[in-house]
Formats: sequence, structure tokens, C-alpha cells
Amino acid sequence: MNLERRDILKAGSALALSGLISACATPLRRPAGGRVVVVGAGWGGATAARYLRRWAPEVDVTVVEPAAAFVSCPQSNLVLSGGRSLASLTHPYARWATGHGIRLIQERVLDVDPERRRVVLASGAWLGYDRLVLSPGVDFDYAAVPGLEDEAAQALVPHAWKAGPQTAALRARLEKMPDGGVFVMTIPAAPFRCPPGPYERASLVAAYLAQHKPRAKVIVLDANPDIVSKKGLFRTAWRELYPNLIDYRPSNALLHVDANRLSVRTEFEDLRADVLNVIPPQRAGDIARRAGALREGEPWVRVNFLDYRSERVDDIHVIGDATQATPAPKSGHVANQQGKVVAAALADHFAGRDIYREPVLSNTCYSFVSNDEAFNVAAVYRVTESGTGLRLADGSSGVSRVRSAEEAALARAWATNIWSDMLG
Amino acid sequence: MKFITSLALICALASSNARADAPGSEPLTPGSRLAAGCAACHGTRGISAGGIPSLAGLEREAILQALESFASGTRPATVMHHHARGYSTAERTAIAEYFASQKVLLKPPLEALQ
Ligand code: HEC
Repeated sequence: MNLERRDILKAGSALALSGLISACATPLRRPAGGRVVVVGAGWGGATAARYLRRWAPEVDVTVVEPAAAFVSCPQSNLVLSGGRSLASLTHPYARWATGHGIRLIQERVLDVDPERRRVVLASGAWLGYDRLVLSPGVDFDYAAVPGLEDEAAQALVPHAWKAGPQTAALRARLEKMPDGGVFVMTIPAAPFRCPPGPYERASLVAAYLAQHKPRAKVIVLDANPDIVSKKGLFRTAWRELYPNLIDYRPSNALLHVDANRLSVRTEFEDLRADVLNVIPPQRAGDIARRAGALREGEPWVRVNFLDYRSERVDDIHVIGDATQATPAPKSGHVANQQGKVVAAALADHFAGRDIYREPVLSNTCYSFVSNDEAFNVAAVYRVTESGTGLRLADGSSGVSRVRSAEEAALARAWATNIWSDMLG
Repeated sequence: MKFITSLALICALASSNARADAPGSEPLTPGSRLAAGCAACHGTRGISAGGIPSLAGLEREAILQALESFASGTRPATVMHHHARGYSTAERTAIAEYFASQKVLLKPPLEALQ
């Protein structure tokens, strides 16, 4: 344990021990069903909290989330093309929490003390738990992007890979871009959040430019040797919808960024952009590391897929993009499904039932290639014999045959239904 | 100020939100576990907010028949062939029984989401 961490834990416990508790109107008591703290109310955490209340109403559920509202990453690329408003992706948490009897604490988590089973909050207070669910999403590894190490430089180059103000900032830059300008985006080596997302973004930026700045261009610098997901569908869409607009350059890893000049260097070239979008390399949200759930030198958390408990720390479960869940992708749909599996596993645990050995989860990622057309990739996953891996269910995986307006409508319906399933 | 926030927090923790008769609770069964996967698209408990068909209250046989024809490819689909193929016959039956037993109530409280 490092010094900084020890201090935080000490501060938390000092506060709790200082007799403040006696000042509370209600005496402190332990709920009969157990106490679960969920960190992060994104796709995984919100679903886990809601389904835990559904399946184990005697369990006390506290969610710690710094944001007042959920903003959906899926479909946020449509904000760039004008196919959706940011408001349509935003759903406040307050009514949801009250409606389901979830205690919502709008704060950041500073640390986790697995030995005493406590979560330390930014205010210095702490929360005790019997089981902790971490759904921390991804953090960006800017240290791995020379030129973007410090925040001042980062502020000049939006990632828009977490939806919200970043999405609006990228859209604003597109609007200000001169016709004939160049939009440059960079894609990190897989795995990253939302495998088809960068290619959807290239498509939707092209859709915007084709309409508003017909002489402008999109250059995609991809660290990967090829399009990571739905390759054939994206290539066909680019050829047919945006001929000569998208210049895709595979195996072209980013080596350096000059944030002031908006220029990038790769092994092969130096490029200046009018609008630059760097999607940074990613790893599990840092609280997973602080909780001790990560192996030294590994970016993603290893879990047991029967109940998502960390292989390294007792009583801590990790779900969502932070997990090493291949072949399942880091997607909102998968996090939703994992939230349900962990909720069921915790309900079983507190009720004294045996662990359920056959959880099934599915994925569906819809990608838009214009405001009006989309396609999907879908699959069903099962847990391997050992419990420590996922595998594709036979014959269950595949992509759409063609892009279509029908699937664009279904993609919007998917969003409405899954948001409602988590947050309704 | 900080002191007060912390105190409020600790006090908040003192009151439990757990109660066994919570509205919206349901028993955890093989059917409810598996059907929760489908809820992502078809709506919680199979009550859709629109755009994708509701499954709540459909007949067990109709659901099984639909899954079978999606899986075999005889019924055209955009995604259901992939999803249907992932589940065993026993699992499909548990899912079908779950949705068939859901009462179709009011629309879910989604207006806030749209
Ligand atoms: C990705 C979203 C998605 C998921 C997940 C999903 N479905 Fe579907 N479902 C659809 C769509 C879309 C249709 C319409 C057919 C098509 O285009 O594939 C459909 C159609 C159906 C139908 C036919 C309904 C009717 O009235 O004609 C049934 C039955 C069904 N699904 C059952 C299920 C079951 C059971 C599951 C879970 C194992 C499931 N679905 C999971 C999207 C989904």
C-alpha cells in the first residue's frame, strides 16, 4: 500500500471513529439481507443495482456515481452528424434511484479498503459493504500518447470517447472547420471500448462533411492492421456513400501529437489536421487497480464469469468494459448483461443458494453509417468450464447482411429499450 | 461544510433501503435469469417501449415456435437468428414460460427517457 493510499484510508477511518455516528437520528444498523455498494452507474453498474433490487429486495443497495445524469456513449457519434441531440442521450439518475429504493451518493470514490470492506469517498466519509461491485468503465492511458501527457494538451484534442461535453466539443470543432479542411482521427490498438465505434465515427463525420463541407476529407490512422469490427459492411458503406471522402490507413500507429499545431506523427508520416480526434489507448478505470483487482502490468480485470468476482480480491466483483471478457466486446449491451449476472449471483449469495453455473449473456452492437442507415453484430456467450472465460455459443455470432433503414430504426428502439431496462 | 456533508452521508447509511416487499421485485428463477438477457431489446419483463415487439403475455408455444424458426432461418430476421441459436431447447422453454406468465400491464415508465 502506498503512502498516499494509507493516508486516505486513515482519514476515512478517523472521521468514522470520531463519534459522529451518534449524531444520526436513526441508529446505525446492518440490514438483514446484506449491503452492496456499486461504484459507477453506467451500463453495468446501473443495471446491476436495479436488478439486484428486483431479485433481492432485502439487500441494501448503494450506488456511488459522481455524475448527476447518465449520458449514453452508444449513439453519441450521431451527435456529430446531427442525427441525435446530446439531450436525447442524457438521463438523470435521481428519480430512478428513488423509484427502485437505491441509495444514490453523488460523489467520486477515492479508494477501496478490501480488508475492512470499505469504500472511501472524496468527502472523506466511507461506506462499509458486504459485497462491492465495481463498474468503473475505462480510463485513458494518455501517458502512452507522447505529446498528450498533460491536461492542457489534452484539452486541445477532444477524445469524445466518453459522451458529454467532449462530444459537444468535437461537434463544435467540426462546425468551425473550413470546407476543404482535414479531419484526422486516430484509433488505438485493440482492445478498447466499443470495437466498431471508431469506424462508425469515421462514417458519421463523413456524413456531416458530405452535407456541409463537401470538399473536406476524413483521414483515419488506425494502429490495427485492419478495421476491427464489421469490416466488410463499413468498407461497402464508405465506398458507396462517401466515395473518396474517407482515407483509411491501417497499421499506422500514433507516435506523437503536437496539440498546438494539431499535427500527428506516425511511423510513416507527419500530418496536420484542421480537426484532430485522438481516441486514446485505454485500461480499466483506476479504482479497479486501487482496489487491488488488477494483475501487475495488466490493463483489464480478470474475473470469474459465474459471478464476476475478482480473481484477486475477496468480496469485490467487477463488470463492464473494465473486465478482460474476450471474446465478448467492451460494449454497453455486454455490460448490461453482466450487470444482470452479477445481480443474480449476489441475490443467490445473500439467500444462501448455490452459485448458478449456466449464465448466458448476449451482445448486440448497432453501428450507424449515416443518420438513416445502420447494421449490427450480434452474439451469445457462455461461460467456459473453468468459469474464468467466455466462449461464443455455437452458431450464434454474425453481422447484418446489409446496412438498412430498418436497422437504423431498430437501433434507436434498442437504445430506448435498454436505457429503460437500466434506468427506467 | 465538508464536515456536514460527511455527517449527512454517514447518517444516510444508517437507514436501510432494504425491504422484502419492494415494488418491482420478482423471484429469481432460471426463466427470469435468462429472459433478463432478452429484456435489453424487448423491454424489462418483455414490455417494450416500442420499435421492437413486446414478449410479455405471448403464448408459450408462439414464443418457442418463433425462436425455432429464427434459429433455423425459416423466419427472416435482422438479429433474432443469432440470438435464438445461442440457447438450448430447455433454456428457450424456460424463457418462453417466463414471458408467457408476465401480465401485460401499463406501458413502462419510459416517457422520461424519450
Ligand atoms: C438485439 C436486440 C434483441 C435481443 C437481445 C433479443 N431480441 Fe427478439 N427480436 C428482436 C428484433 C429486432 C425482432 C424482430 C425480428 C428481427 O429483425 O430479428 C425480434 C423478434 C422476436 C420475437 C418475435 C416476436 C413477434 O411478436 O413476432 C420473439 C419471440 C423474440 N424476438 C424473442 C426473443 C428472446 C426470447 C430473446 C432472448 C433470448 C430475444 N428475443 C432477444 C430484437 C432482439
